[in-house]
Amino acid sequence: MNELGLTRMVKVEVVTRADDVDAVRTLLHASGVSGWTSLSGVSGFGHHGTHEGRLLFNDRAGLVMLIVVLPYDRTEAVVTGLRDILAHRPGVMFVSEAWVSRPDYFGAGSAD
Amino acid sequence: MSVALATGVLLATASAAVCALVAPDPRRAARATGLLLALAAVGAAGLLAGVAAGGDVAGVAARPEVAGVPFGIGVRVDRFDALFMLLVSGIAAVVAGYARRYLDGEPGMAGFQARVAGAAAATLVMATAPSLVQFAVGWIVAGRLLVGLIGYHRDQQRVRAAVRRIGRLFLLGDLALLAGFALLATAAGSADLADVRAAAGDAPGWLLATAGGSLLVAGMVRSAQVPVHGWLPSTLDAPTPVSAFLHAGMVNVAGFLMITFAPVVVAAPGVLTATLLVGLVTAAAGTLFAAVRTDVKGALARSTVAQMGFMLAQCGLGAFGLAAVHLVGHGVYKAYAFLSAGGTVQTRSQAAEAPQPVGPAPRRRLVVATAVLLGVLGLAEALLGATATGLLTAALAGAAGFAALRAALADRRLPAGAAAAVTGAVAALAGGYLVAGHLATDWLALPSSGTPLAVAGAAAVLAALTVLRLVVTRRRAAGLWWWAWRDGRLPARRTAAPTRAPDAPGGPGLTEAGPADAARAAAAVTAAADHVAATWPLDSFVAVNPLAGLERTPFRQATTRLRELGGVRTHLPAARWRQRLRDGEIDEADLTAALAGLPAATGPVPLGGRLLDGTQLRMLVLRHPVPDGPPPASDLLDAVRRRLAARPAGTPATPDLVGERTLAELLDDALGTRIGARVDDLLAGWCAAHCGRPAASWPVPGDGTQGCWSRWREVAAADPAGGTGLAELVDALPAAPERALAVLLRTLGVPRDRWAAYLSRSLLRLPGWAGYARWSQGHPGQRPALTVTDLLAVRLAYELALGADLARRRLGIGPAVDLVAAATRTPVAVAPAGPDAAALARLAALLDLDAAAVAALPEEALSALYDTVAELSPQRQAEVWLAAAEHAYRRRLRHRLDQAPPARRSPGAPLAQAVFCIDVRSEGLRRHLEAAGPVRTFGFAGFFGLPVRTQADGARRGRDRCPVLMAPVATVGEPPAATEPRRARQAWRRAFAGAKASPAGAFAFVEVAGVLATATLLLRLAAPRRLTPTVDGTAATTVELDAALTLDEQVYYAEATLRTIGLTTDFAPLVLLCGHGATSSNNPYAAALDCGACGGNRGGVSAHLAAAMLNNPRVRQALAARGIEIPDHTLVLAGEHDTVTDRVRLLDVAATPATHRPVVEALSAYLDGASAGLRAERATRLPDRPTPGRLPARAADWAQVRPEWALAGNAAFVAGPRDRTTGLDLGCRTFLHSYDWSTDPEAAALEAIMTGPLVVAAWINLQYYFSSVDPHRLGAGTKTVHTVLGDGLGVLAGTGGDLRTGLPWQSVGVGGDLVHEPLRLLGVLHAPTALVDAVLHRNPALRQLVDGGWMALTVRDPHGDRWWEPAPAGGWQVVPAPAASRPRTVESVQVRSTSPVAEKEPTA
Repeated sequence: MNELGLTRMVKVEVVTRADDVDAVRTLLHASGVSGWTSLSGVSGFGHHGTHEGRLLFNDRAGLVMLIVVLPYDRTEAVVTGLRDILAHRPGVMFVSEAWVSRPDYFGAGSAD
Repeated sequence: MSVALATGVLLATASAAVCALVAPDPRRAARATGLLLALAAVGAAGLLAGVAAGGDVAGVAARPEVAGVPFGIGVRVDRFDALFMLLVSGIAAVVAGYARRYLDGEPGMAGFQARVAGAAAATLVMATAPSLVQFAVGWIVAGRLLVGLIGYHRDQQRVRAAVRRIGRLFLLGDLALLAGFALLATAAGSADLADVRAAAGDAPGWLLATAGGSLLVAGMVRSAQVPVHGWLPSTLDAPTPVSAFLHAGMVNVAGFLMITFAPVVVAAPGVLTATLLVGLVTAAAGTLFAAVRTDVKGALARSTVAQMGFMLAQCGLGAFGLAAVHLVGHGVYKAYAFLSAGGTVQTRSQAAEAPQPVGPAPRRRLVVATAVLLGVLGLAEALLGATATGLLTAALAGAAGFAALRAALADRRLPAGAAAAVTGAVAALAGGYLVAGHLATDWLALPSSGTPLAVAGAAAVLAALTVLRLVVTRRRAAGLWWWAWRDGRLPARRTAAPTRAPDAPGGPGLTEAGPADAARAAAAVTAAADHVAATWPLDSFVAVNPLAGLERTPFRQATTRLRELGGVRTHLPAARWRQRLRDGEIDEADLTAALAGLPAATGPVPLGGRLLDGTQLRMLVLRHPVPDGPPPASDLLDAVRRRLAARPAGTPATPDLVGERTLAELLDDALGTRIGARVDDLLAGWCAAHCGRPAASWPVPGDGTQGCWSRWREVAAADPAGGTGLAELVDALPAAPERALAVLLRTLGVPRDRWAAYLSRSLLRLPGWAGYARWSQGHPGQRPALTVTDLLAVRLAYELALGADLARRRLGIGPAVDLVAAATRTPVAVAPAGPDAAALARLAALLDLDAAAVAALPEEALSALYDTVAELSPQRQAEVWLAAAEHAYRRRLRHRLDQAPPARRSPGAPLAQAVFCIDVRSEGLRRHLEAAGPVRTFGFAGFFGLPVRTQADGARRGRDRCPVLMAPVATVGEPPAATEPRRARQAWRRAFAGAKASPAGAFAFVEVAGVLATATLLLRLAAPRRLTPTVDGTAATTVELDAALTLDEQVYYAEATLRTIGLTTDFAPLVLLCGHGATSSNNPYAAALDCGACGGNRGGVSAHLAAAMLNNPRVRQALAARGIEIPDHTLVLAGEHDTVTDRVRLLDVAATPATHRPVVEALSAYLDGASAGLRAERATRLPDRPTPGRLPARAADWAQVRPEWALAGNAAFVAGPRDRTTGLDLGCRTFLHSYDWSTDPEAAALEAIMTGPLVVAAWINLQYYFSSVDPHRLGAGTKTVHTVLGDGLGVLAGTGGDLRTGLPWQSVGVGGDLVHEPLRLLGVLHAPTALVDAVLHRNPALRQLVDGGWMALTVRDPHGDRWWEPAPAGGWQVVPAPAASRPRTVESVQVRSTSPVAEKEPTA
């Protein structure tokens, strides 16, 4: 994809309980991630059974998906931290490659 | 006549002390004591009038001689004495009357009342003393009794230490007084006061200087002058009435001393100057100490230091008359300020929710107002004749007035009328103050003039103080701020101790950490934070499960983990439950059922000629105090020991403490130091300074946007108490908190896989602040920010700084936990778990086995005993007893529900349908209302399904009116007509606060405030209900609702609400939506009494909004299209049930159409009847058993710590048709939610109920549970020592420490007795099990709560008459029918304790 002028990066998708999203966001902040996309009311089926979308009187039990794209040099920190967070709580993490057109949007080159 | 009156005042006060001690019933004793003290105060008022009219009073009863020096015993009262007597006796009467309700039920009440009356009597003896001897006796006795009062909570180590310190200090002051008196008596040849005063001018200078200096020292100690001021703030661990008595009455004795001995002080060379200097230094320092404080009582205590300094400075100026006026004004003000300090939460919350001032401030208005003020002051001075001290007083009044005007007029949108009113009031008060002060000074006829030079000096100091305050608030004077925060204590200089190893690491010596370490630190923080639940600010108290983060693990494991990590108690001890068995509240069958959860019991074994099986042995152990009973007979114990010695021993183990114990704990254990506690103090102090800063007039330096860690990094280095090496460490730590935490963890040598454990343990040292940090992270921007990572980074930095210093000095090693563990580890032989010999001997004694029988016991029988005692450890017993108590309650509840009488439906449609909150308190009102008239009731969460925030235009904060599980979907504004009057009210509040915070003006302010406080006190006495907090009745209307929510959204919420309730057809002419709230005065926990479903707010506003929505024709039209037809003749009306008064207030009744008025009037009548019935029922449950008619008075009672029981007793949640519970008295212990399974084929409504209200109810239930089982660590402890922090974010106990979380002891117990029965919630669902299964299957988090034992479910199958409960292996099992037992009512059960108070009475 280089020929298209795209830059290879890493995409991490995390599905977690709405209650735990704050912890994931804190981790992303601490790892120097510059932004993410958040989808609330995610539904599905998995280890813990069926997860419906939104509940009428409870916003905290639902699932949220966070999608974050980051340069390689930050992946270790994010993945390590996420693995620790998800060790004892429901949630999944998918890591894959992604190609972006504006790498500076995703914190490339400003790693600490 | 006046002599008799003066003697009468003394006798009445002394009799009050005796009465408090001898009367057997504490409540009656307190009442009699209060009456006698009030009588004394009335007598003192009469005496003052008598003295004013008839001149001084003198009467000597005896005139003995000591060492040839004669002295009089009797009374001698001049005008100032009479005024002082009125102040002391008045304050004592107010404090005693207040404490009668405030400390009701507390075991220390009688002693408290006796000491207050005794100290007042001693002070009056001193005030009326005709001689130095009588004066000294009164002075010393009052001081000793005061120390006793300060030690009210003597069970706390820090209180005992403070009492010892204060005792020693007072002794020093007493000795100084005696020395001064001895010199004066020698010089005068008489110990009579009149002789000493008269002879003062003739005595030699050195003698006078020494005597005057001694009196000054005595006065300095009692009135907390710098440098002996430290004792006064340390008294805040005593209940609030002690503080009021102390600050208002007792510290003033120093002023009384100086004024009484004015001739001596004036004649003694240098003493006046020294007095002036001490006073000015104390006034300036005290002002700075008070300016940095963030808690109400802490700031008041330091302000007393400043005010006492000012009073002494007035004496130093020779202005004794002015000092006398200040003494009285400050005394009354400070008493009122302390006693009303609990109302700060409500006041500050109202200020934040009111429209904020709109700037820039209109300058012209301020100029005009200032000109008016100056004109009035100038005129007053001109009329009174300007003197040097008069001009100083006028300048102070001007400073206070200007500060008030500047604060009040800062709002550009303040109406001109309000601005003029404030200006007029300020000018009138300032002018009146000058005139009244002048008249009072003249009337007192005390010397009141100072030399112009001294007055100019004092004015310069006060001006400098004002300038200093202006400068330090603009510049980052961190060093000075820390000095003020530490109350002027200088760091203890430690001589460099020789280190054992000269090559030990010096400096920070930090280990680097990379980004991955920072991420792992962040993840470890997340895991650690699971051990604490978010703590909501007090003004929106939300009940949460303190173990909410551990709900993924079963209750048993989670509580075990918490006990290990935090050392808390998670179950009520068995001893508390045993009494319930004796009382018949728990049956043998319940215990047997509870034991079913244990592994199968052993078979029968021969014991003492009988065959006993394992179950019988277990019952024996459970029913008797085997692990902790009285000591067994020594021969029996020896026999057991011999048998145990012969058993094979387990392998001793050496625990691996690395990572499981913090560095501070390891060092403390090994070296006997108290570093852990010191780190706790430093961190808690920092959090209070940082998070409470909106309340400080000189907040901790830093930008408003700075987080905790960043601010701390900037200022911590200047803290003299932070330990050596802190400054270097702070410099070296990274700016990012996660990175810094990683560096700290690595430097401390904590293995990576133990980071979470280490941080958990660290966090649980201060669970209150950890809880606030969790809340703050989820609510950014609402209050001063604190994150869990910041908190831990600051904690570990302090720990490293202090630990490194100690490890280097004492052990010669670096501060790594593995090094310290290795260096300090002693071979710990942990004995294998097993019962101790004493427990076994007790069990043997219960089986009638003597020593010989034990010796001869077969091995099999001994093993059976051994195993039973080992298995039923105290903790295991507590768990079994909890299960038994739950079994007992649930058995009775099911039995009761089975016996519901057939529903009595009146023919035809009901008069009204009334929807109440599911709150347990609504159960009582619904029951009484249904009995009163043809009204059908429903239960639904009190926010009526409308998750919104309400916020006034321009306000700093709004209110989230929905359960904590939800986020508001929209913000509803407030009608401008309701907002604008609040602008004017806030201008008055700002004027008051502005004058109070003025550095120099505050000295004049307290005198004016004293007059206002006197008026308010008298009003409280005469018409207390006039001071009942007003209920904010203004709510948005359809216009504001339409602006916030689209029509579709409104229809969505309206339909969801009606369908979940099951109210979709057969609408009555009137539908009442009745929220609830509680009116209480001066109560920091007021929000805890409000509606949990409304996020700790009053429910009337939510009801009002929902009613407006359901009355909206467009909403009704859309609902009709969706199958819910609300007829045109149906009116939806809102109401609010006040759970303190049990009155139901119908809202917007005036707007009722004429067609509905008769129905509304009829409903009102039924509601009145229901309210009266519920009051009569509730009155019997309150500890002081008031008559039902007196319940409403509790709402206005500022001393009432228990306005009502709120949700105490809650134990079940019933979701089902009301028919299943109608006519049953469930004792206000059950949440009742309406539900009709027949209209819910997809279980949508059931899912909404089970994932919403049921979970909220479970949290409330667990909050009550944990606040009951460990009121000190998981509850907030006693309310009586609480001090409100910051802008109402929480309370601290006494002199500081952790932020208190959970419910106060007064919400769950009385005195030493626990009243709430801590049972986990039972959800009772009237639905087919298939529907319940569907909901559980779709909601894993809910299933975890049920499977993990956080709550229980029982299902009543509508097709049959059986009860079902979840089977251990999945699916459902029929609840076995209980064995025949005596029928009991479910409402009568209450836990009664029998163990000593000290064990369970929570203290700060």
